[in-house]
Amino acid sequence: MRVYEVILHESAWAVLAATELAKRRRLLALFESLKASPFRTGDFQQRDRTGRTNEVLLLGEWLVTFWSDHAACEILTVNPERAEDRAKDHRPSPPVLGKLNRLQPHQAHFLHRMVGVPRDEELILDQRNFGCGMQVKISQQVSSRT
Amino acid sequence: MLKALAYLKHLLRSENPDYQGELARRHADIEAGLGVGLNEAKERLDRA
Repeated sequence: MRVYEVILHESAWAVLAATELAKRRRLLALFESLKASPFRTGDFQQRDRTGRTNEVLLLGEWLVTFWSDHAACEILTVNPERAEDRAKDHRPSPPVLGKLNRLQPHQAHFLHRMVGVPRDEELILDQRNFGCGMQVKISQQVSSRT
Repeated sequence: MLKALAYLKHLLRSENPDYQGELARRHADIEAGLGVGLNEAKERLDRA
């Protein structure tokens, strides 16, 4: 079996260096687990500008974006981040807001189920989820922005 | 809850051209030799 190497982008390195020791050890162990299963797919897939499909994997409290180069036996890790940190660097743009307001039923269902909100109740996303004072209400039938 | 937040984060930026460009730039950085191997990263952290 070929041995894969995990390669970190310098920003990933910076995240590691800035993380307290215990959490850093956990993150390093998570990277090691990637080496052991290089064909693992992520919880989500994220295209980049070149059309490459990156895997986005929730590992413990971390959300790790990577792409496995099987020809070179390398796992290129470009963006480890804490999952609970809001996406403040990427405020929802009007098209994204439109997307939130028109979630597919399975997407709305997934969010409700993950948060533990009953399907007949609204799921309310607010400034805890966004980097601005915006509120989005998602029901499994209709979504609306206020 | 954590997975929902992760999904929401992904949903909000998955089609953002800036974010897609940022990921492509980071891959280009690694291809240009600016990446750090995990073993080397560990050694650096031990020395720091």
